[in-house]
Amino acid sequence: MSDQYPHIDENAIAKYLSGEANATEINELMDWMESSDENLEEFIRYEKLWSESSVHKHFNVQKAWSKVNLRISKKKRRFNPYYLSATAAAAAFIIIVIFVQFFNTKPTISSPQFAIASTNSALNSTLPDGSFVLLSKHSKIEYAFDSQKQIRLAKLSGKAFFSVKRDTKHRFIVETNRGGVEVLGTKFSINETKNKDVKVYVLSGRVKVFLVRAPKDTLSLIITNGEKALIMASNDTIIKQAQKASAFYTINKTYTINKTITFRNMYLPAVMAKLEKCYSVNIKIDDSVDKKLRFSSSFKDNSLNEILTVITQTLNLDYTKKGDTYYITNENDE
Amino acid sequence: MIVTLANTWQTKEGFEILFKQHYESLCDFVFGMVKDYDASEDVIQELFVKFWEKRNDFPDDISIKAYLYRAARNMALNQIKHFEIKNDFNLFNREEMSDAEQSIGNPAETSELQKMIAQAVNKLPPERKKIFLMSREDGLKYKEIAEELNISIKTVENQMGKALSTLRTELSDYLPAIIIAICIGIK
Repeated sequence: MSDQYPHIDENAIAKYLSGEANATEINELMDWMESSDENLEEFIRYEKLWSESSVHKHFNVQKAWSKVNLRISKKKRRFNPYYLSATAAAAAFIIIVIFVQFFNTKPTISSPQFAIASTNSALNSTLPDGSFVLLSKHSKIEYAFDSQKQIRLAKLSGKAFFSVKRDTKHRFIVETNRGGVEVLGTKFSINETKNKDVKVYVLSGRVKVFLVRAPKDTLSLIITNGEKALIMASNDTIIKQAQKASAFYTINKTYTINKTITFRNMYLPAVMAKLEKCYSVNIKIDDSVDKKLRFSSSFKDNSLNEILTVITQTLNLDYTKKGDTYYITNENDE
Repeated sequence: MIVTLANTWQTKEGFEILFKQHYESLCDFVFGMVKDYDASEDVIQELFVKFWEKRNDFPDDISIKAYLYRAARNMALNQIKHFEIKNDFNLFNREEMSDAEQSIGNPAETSELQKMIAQAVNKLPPERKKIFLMSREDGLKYKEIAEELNISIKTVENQMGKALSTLRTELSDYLPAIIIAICIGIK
């Protein structure tokens, strides 16, 4: 294609466009593109062919335009949300996922400023300090600011996801019946398994894991990036282990992080599978229903009934509820 | 005359046209670098917002297209640096990453060019056509295609390149000619 850039050919371009190129290949292609206007135009032609050769559109121009239009219509922006989203991860929040089994003894804080409990579905809320918390079903959290010790203290039964607001002056401590976690760094999770061991995962930053019954700091362990701590139920000890990166991922998959549910042209079975997970229900799709039906929409804080009504009416389907199970059928089946 | 054309993007209407003309291509372009559809859109939207803010500072003879691509490249590279951090964060914010993979964009109306491409794809040798469609229609990675068909990744690369090359030759009449429309005549 060009003597000066022997590596740039259709293979290289196809590879780049399909997201398969590595850093070196990307750089070579960029150099080639920038070396002349003709090359840039040639690239744009390939790109055009490439994007038009698939019926799937990944980018929605109209939607993007309304977003951008909104942004440029505002007179002065206070901050740059694009960079904020990146820095927020690094600085503003500490993220915790905690799994703790329900104990018979209730966690109590003498005078909680704030308490929430979930029943059959997940619940999200903001703690008085601005931290975000999502409670899994059948979980409870009590929160108080201890003005004497100047700490933020949360007591948990069940499972919870925290996004802790950074406040270096006031430490954030999560206590369970067996052990606790003090937030020192950025991101980590806690997970209690069936045998009541407590697992703490650290994605980045540092946390201190301690045993509740031991005097603080005498039996504690600091774990950092990529490590996992295990609080053994059997003998109240803490063990440090190397963590598999996938651990976080699996934990989060079982969660609804917020109640905004988005379907982007998903097939009906995938839509229903997602709803089952989010609302902890069973949904059965009748065999006669076309499994190739697709659905796109976004719901925020809607009830399952509302969502199912919208989906079924859109697709000319119907739904009924028998016991704990929802049945999706064709409309004329009624 | 050309100069007034060059300035149209300084008005809101002209900017909208510019945006709609280049948005998808630029997204496709940075996708090659950031390898994430949502992140690609974020980068390009940010690019256009910045462009709008600086619209009065550009010299008259700027080649918009070249500028946009260069800026997109720089911002995408910048994005990749932030990407690992952001990715971590997204794991918590996205309920399921796999949803993004399952979801498929809205099939848009078929344009003339798309029809021509579909015809040209149909005429490709069967194996090449199959590989091309597995990549473009099913969204499979080279590695996945190679495993599925029990061939080497290198073969997939070659077949993809050849398919693209054929389309380029067959459809040369339907592709935009070499014009950097806005800056012609100004240089």
